[in-house]
Formats: sequence, C-alpha cells, structure tokens
Amino acid sequence: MRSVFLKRLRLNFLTFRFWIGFLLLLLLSVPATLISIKDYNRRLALYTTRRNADLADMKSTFIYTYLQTYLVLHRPPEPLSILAKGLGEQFGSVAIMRGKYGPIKVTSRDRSNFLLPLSAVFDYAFLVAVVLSLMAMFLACDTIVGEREQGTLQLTLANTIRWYKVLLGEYGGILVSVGLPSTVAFLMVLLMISVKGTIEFDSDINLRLFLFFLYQLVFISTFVLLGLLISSLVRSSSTAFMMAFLIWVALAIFYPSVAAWGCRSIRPLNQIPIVNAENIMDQAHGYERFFKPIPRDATERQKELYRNKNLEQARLLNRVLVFSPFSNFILMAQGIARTDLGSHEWFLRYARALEQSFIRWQDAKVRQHPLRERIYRGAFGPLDFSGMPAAEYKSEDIASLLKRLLPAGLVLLLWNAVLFFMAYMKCVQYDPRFG
Amino acid sequence: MIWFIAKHTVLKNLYDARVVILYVVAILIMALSAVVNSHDMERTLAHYHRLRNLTAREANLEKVVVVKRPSSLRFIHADMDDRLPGYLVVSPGFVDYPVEDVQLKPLAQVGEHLDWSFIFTYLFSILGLLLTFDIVSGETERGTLKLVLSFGISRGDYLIGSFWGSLLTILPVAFIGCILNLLIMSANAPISLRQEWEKIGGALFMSSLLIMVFTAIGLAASTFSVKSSTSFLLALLVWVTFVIVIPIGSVLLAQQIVTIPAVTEVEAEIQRARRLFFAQLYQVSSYDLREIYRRDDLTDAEKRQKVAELQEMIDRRDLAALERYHKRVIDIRESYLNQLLRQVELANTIARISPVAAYREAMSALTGTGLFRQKRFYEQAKRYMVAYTQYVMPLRNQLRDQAEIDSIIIEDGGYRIRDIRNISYENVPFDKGSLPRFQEKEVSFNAATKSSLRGLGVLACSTALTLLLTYFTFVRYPVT
Repeated sequence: MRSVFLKRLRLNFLTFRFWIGFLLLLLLSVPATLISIKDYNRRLALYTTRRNADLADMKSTFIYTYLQTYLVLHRPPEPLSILAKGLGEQFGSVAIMRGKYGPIKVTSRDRSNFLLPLSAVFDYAFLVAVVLSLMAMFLACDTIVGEREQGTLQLTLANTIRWYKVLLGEYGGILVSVGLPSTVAFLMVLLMISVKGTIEFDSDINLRLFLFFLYQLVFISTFVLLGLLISSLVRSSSTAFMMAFLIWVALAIFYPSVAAWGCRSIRPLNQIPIVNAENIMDQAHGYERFFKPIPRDATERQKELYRNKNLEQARLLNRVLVFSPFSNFILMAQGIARTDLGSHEWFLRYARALEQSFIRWQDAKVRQHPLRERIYRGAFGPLDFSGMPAAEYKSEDIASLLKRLLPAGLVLLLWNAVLFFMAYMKCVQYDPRFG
Repeated sequence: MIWFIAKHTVLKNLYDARVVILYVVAILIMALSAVVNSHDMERTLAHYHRLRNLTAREANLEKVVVVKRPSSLRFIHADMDDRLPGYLVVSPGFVDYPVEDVQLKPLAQVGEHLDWSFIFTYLFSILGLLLTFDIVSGETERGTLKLVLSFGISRGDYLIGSFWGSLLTILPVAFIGCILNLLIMSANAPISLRQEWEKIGGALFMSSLLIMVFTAIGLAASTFSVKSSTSFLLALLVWVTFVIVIPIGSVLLAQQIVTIPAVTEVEAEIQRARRLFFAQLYQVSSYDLREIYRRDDLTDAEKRQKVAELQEMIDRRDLAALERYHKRVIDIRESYLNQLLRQVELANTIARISPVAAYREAMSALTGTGLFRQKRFYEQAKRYMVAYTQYVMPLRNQLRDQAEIDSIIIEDGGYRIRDIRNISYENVPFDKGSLPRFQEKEVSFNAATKSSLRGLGVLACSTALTLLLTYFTFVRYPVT
C-alpha cells in the first residue's frame, strides 16, 4: 500500500494538472484574501463608528420621554468572514428596537451594489471549492483507468496486493498531493490575515480555523473518491475526464440552480404582494417617526408573513444544498465563519429576545413614571434608565454552532463512505486476466 | 475535402455513445427548462398584476410606484431580473429606487435562472469543448493524424472541416432543444411568442455563435498538445476562466476601482443636510409673538395682521429651506445611484473580454432583461415623472389646506404661529382615475439588435481569432 501511495504521490507531482492547480490556487487566493481583509477592516471601522454614533444618539434621546427611547443592536462583522463572506451584512446587521412603540427594524450598515450581476462571492471558500474540487477530481479520475490503459494495473495486481490496499494507496497519494497545496494556501492566507488583518487569534477563532482546515480536507477527500469511482467505472481516460467534468458541473452549477428553483416553487414568495414604496425622501424625513408610535398594522403583519416565508424558503434550500458536496462545503465554511443563514437567524432571535426584555423594562419605567411616557417638561430632569438592557451582541457559542453544523458534516462523511464503498465494489469486479 | 473531413467528424461524433448521451441530456434539460419557465412565467405575471393593482390603489399626490413588466422572453435569458428591483418610486421631480428593506430581500439567491442562456453557457459550451478538445491531439495519440494528412489534405482544410463537422453535430441538437422548449412554452405559458419570433431568432443566432466560440477554443486546445488529457485541461482552464473567473473577477476589480460609499455614510450625509435645513429654518419662538402682542401702539386687528405677515414670512423661508433640503437629498441620492451605475458599467466593460459576458449582454438586449432593460425602465419612469409632476403640482396647490403639515407650533398671548418642518400630501383624497397611467414601451427589434451588436462583434472576433491562432499552431504541429 505504501508503495502505491508513494508512486501516486510522485506521479502527481510530475503532472501538468497538479502544478497548474497549485499555481492557480496560490495566484487567486492572494488577491481574494487581500480584498476580503480590506473589506473586513472597512466593515469593522464602519461598525465601530456607527455603533459609537448610535450609542451617543440613544443617550441624547433618553433625556426626553420614554416614547422616544430605543435600542440599537449592532452585530459586529465576523472575523472569519475573510474566509467565507456568506450572507455578509446584506440581510441585516443592525436591529433598531422601539419596544412597545413600534416593530423591530432590521437594517444593515453596508450593502452591496444591487445593480451588480453577482451571484457568487469570490472568497477563499469559493476558490477552494472550485480549484481543489477540480484538482482532486482530475488527479483521481484517470488513476485506475489510466493504469488499465497502460497495462500496469495487471502488473500491480499480479503482486497479490488486495484491492482495498490499492484503492487506499491511490486515495492517500492523491489526498496528500491535493492536501499539500491546500495547506500551503491556507497557511499563506493565515499569514496574510495576521499581517494585514485586525483579528485576535483567540481560542474560539483558532478552533474554528482548525475546523475549517479539517473540513477542507474532508471536502477534498470526497472529490478524490468521486474521481476514483469514475476511474473505476469507465474504460478510457478521456471518458473519465469528460464524466468528471460533467459531474462537477452538475454538482457545482446545475444542482444549486435546480434546487433553488425547486425551493422557490415549493415555498413561493411572490404570492405575497409587498411593495416597499419608501424612497429617499421618506428616509430623510423618517426621523420624525420617533415622535409617535408605529402601529403593528396589516401591512406590518403582511411583511412579517413575507419575512417568515423568506426564512423558510432559505432554510429549505440550505437543507437541499447540503447534499451536493460542493455546496455542502461552502455552506459549512460559512457556518464555521458564522456568516451563514443559521447565524443570521441567531442574530434575529437574539434581537427579538433583547426586544422582549426592553419592552419589560419600558413597561416597568412607564408604570413608575406614567407622565413621562409622552410628555416632556424641563422640570422633570433626565430620564431614569437604570436597569435598561444593554445592546451588546453575543455570537452563537461554539457548542451550539457545532451541533447545528453536525448534520451537514455527517452528510459529507457519508458521501465519502458511500463513494469509497462503490469504488471498491466496482474494482473487485475487475478481473486482471482479461485486461 | 473540407466536406469529407466534416462528414467524418459528424459520423465519428454520432457513433460515440458518450456524445449521444450528452445530446439526449441536453435536449431533456431544454425541455425541463421550458416546464420550469412556464410555471415561473405564470407566477411572475400574476405577481406583476397583483403589484400593479396594489400600487394603483396606493398612488397618491406624494408619490406613485411604477412596476416593471416581466419580459415575455425571460425564459430565454432572465439575467438578473429576479434580483433587480421590480419597481421604481416616482415623486414630483425625482425617480428613485425603493430604499432597500433588507428583510424583504430574497435570502435564497443561490444559483441561476434555468433559461436558455444558462444552458448554453454551462452545457452547450462544454459540449463544444468536448467534441473538439481531442480532434488533433487524440488523432496524434492514436496515430491516425499522419494517415489523414498523408491523403494530401491540407492542414487548413482539416481544421475547417473538423470545426464545421463538430458544429454540424452540435447545432442541430441545440436547435431541436430550443424548438422543443418553444413548443412547451407556447403550449403552457400565458404568453404569445408570435410577435417575438425575430428576437427569438436573434437569441438563437447569438447562442450558436457562443457554441462556435467554444468549439473553436476546444480545437485550439487540441493543437496545443500532443496529449489529449493536456488538451482537455487547457480547454477546461479556458472555460473556467471565461465562465467563472472573469465574470466574478470583473465585479471584484470594478469594486476596487469605483468604491461605493456605505449606506451609513450616505445616511450621515443626509443627516448633515438635515442639520443644515434646521439651521436655515426660521426657528420660531414665543419671543417673536411677544414682540408683537406687547406693543401698545397697535390695535388687535393690527397685531393679527402683523402675526399673519410674520407667519407668511416664516412660511416662505421654511418652504424655501425645505425645497433646498429636498434638492440636496435628491443630489446625494442621485450621486449615489450614479456611482452604483458607474461601478456596474465598469464591471461590464472589464467582463467583455470574456465571450460569455459579451453573449449575456447581447442576450439581455435581445430579450429585454437585466441592466439593459433596467436602464430603459428608469428612463421611461423619468418621462412618466414629468407627466406625473405636471398633473400633481397644480392639484397640490389646490388641495394645500388638506395636506398634513408637520410643524412646531408656538402659542403665546392668544396668538399662534407655526414653523413648518414638512408637508405631506400622502393622505389627501383625489380622483385616482385621472392620474396619468404609466405605459412601459416595448424594446423594438431594431433597437435590441443595435444594442446587441457589440456582443455579436466580440463573439465573431473571438471565433475568428481563435481559429486563426489554431491554424498557426497547427501548421507547426509535429506530425510524426
């Protein structure tokens, strides 16, 4: 097995495919990471500025009436969003709570250009998913069939070596030869982050970085095994290449598009007609809204229904997407970076819980000082806001995160087990006497 | 001789079971796309009508929402129509995109629309590569290339023959898929395709050009190596670059070159304008009233006259400040929107080095979708804004008494004076039936063709240049 492993490793190092993949990975991950770091630093600065400004604004409002008190919860940018940007801040990073005087308003500090034709985010996770999956598949897909074509497979098997040892040797050889560039690229990315970034490498981040790296290897392993299975199924290398490429396109491009269409059909959003007729003038005069309560009326309920349907649709899509190893890795990377849908929902739940305690506080204060709910008189002095809940965001803890990501991780491991088993079963049917 | 080689290539492809399976898969996907899109069209149209009814009901003297009609050819190329705002907010003197409500944005934005352009970009382009990547290198490996060339066939003829042979195998399959797709669409979808046949023909022509580009690229890759596996990898590398790297990379590059201010920065700018607006207001206080009513030399009627004059002066000053403030807010917003557009246009310009991006741009023009349509929709909304303003402004003057005025009121000594912050006509009743209607004009075939010429040029040049490069590489190709 060791000699098969070493042979494959040496052969891979001599191929054009290996070096082109390695070079592409290094060449593309440098600009992708540098841009992500720059973007993260910008978002961090924006978070600090905005949060401080909001804290100052909140305090200035507190001196008038309880009707005007509000809480602004800011979700800080996730440090590992450098690796996997995920949903980013596009779907909300700020929750403005008016408690009993109005519905919660979720907004974001930063939004991308809505006119840009962008469906994929070019971050390190996406790059790894594209380059390493292609590299793993193309290094693996002509191993067995290639040896069969050259006649060396018969010679190998004549040495009474068992099939599982051949497969494991080949698998190990390819895994190491793809794992090596991925490790180099990952270390390079870490180096860039530590030099250019503003991240503190605490135990939580270190653990999640380790998990990211580990999952990257599991992901590579899946595509190596897929390549080996293809290699055991076909009779010519060119067919193996064609099949590998088509399967990759099916998993990486067609499956997400068809899955998204399916989810949109099962849980359609456009059944609920919603028009957000707010223009910039409304926003410019929107400040006055804080002087009167916002009713939780039919439009607001309609919006709530729409938001729930939106989340349901996205949840369903994520559940379907984990079955494609390609999408599974990207979703898992976003999960580890806490930039996925689950983390966004955590933020929304956290904001709702905070809103509830804010409402309780408002009720208690209004009971205590009933006149100060809406009326302001200079003689009243400053508002009493002792015991008010602090607008401090706490990210999802690592245990809960791992529990949430476990099913997706198991799906990828299952892919590995099934693919290895299938490749093994196909290989043992091969009779070396007949070529 | 070219015909002989072409025939040989066609037969070779047709006898290859792998290729035939791929053809069947391609046709099935085209049929699936039609089923998907007929449902999608039904839902999109129903949604459009619901939105139109809703916005017609909610139209007022402050603003009106105009809804973009979904293109009947979105099954050919939906582009980014699902992500772009489907309506604009028109107010007197200004057309705006709705202020983005992040919670109403669809979260499930993965993948692309399953339309013709998607299938041509991701499937037929690959088929073009797969048919040609081993034409020269594969024949070299098998040792048949020297036999073929020993028949006195020139290398140019061999290349052209193989190219046409591959096209003759793939184009009929694409046409069959498209016809099947059109048949299913016309039977199921609530649209009439008869008036659109010219544009459909144009889209089919563009798609054929895209196949030609990738067939030529595959052929070029096959002349760059004597090993078919290396040729395949080269072709794959070019495909990934054109289809994935350049479209995404161009956006990243454009984002680095044209930076867009964060939403909060724009909000801060509006807040600054707001502070300036407050500074320009009269800042009425009871002192102003006291100065009048404490004067002993005036009678009550004169005092009232003085207060009315003061009020008139304050109103004039406030309204002028309000107008300046609105103008400033519109300037801020317009400059932001222009920056967004500049960034997109730069991204599109960079992306044009990829034939895929050029193809998509041309398809947008032909099918009336994407940014091409969005820009036209915005222009038409601007024209409608003029009619709306002309209708609304005299009516506003007539109904000013009923407007909701947001003001600070000061009362002292039995006199009352106000300082206007804002005037809203949103809840003023009027005859909505007499409001000018927004009619979105169709893009004519001539205009669409004119706009797609650039894409056509890029595709045709890419094919010609790649074939030229292939020829020059092949004449130096070692045949031993």
